[in-house]
Amino acid sequence: MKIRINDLETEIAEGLTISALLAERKVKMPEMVSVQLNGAIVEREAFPTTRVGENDTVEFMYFMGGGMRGGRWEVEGGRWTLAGGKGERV
Amino acid sequence: MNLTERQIERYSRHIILPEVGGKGQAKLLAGRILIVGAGGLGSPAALYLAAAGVGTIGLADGDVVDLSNLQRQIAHATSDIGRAKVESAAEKCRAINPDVTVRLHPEHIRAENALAIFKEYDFVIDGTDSFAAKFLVADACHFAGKPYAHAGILRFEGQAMTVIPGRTGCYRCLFHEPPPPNAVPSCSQAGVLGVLAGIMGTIQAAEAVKYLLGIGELLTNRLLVFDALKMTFRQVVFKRNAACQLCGGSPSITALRDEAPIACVCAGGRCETAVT
Repeated sequence: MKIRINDLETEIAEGLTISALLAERKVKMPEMVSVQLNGAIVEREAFPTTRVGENDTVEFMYFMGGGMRGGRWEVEGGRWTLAGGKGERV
Repeated sequence: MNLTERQIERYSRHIILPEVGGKGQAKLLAGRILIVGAGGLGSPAALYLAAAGVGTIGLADGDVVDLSNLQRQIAHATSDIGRAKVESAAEKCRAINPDVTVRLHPEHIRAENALAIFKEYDFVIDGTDSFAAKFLVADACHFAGKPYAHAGILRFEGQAMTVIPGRTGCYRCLFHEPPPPNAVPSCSQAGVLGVLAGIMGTIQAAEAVKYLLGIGELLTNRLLVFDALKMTFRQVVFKRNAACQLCGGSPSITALRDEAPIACVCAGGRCETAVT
């Protein structure tokens, strides 16, 4: 069936819950997404029980901060890592 | 307020706008804007508000300039590394426009200092980076009754909205509370295209200017979402949530509190991510 996700028409299987839709859309961090269904916010606790229907409009809204809290990236064993702990300044 | 000849010349491109005029420019000169976070979002906001002749600009930030900031935090120069961000940004604002009084709050906003600082301003720009700080700014603006412009950036996307406490939907109407502490974002979800900070920060500055002037439609009850890769703006219209724990009918948040910072594990190191 067709629904709109973030303004894009999308074909999905019928009967999906919000939780299943987040998984199906490969949303990596569902904890970081607020979901609006047909203009109303869906409580997080209701994600597993709220089903999406034909022609519904779904918005995934991501938490966005500043991209990265400061600190210093260092090359360690060939990989970039963030020095310091818990985002504290280093 | 009578504008001097120099001011009339400096602000002439404002003054010839019928929606601004000399009266509007006088409103800007009498305006007081607080910028929380003198970083990616706060830098462009501060510079443009200084240029616009906003009379009082407050800068609140407890950080010092770091080399990794310079990719996007345009109020700071290479020679500013190690300086307090508020001092570095204030110097640039004053250099742009000596009409502007820049007030420094060289500290991180916390539950115990937020209200005392916020009450001295007309409008707040949230230029913070962490979830904890964003929720604190949202709550503090609610309790202080101050309108504010939210923005966030992540990777190639940005979002913005304006909140008028008591009248429009708020940040918690949409985002309820910070992600659970056990949420562990990966570094592949972090990082940010530097220019995004400029785009979103100047949107916040535009909202602040509109608010002071009392013109146009503010970005309220709408979350503006920008995608730099597709180069599209779209907006998510939302309603004030009657069950909102901050601004709803029977709120559970009745006093300012600090939210716990959210940490994530990244490739052996640790970072607080806002992914964000």
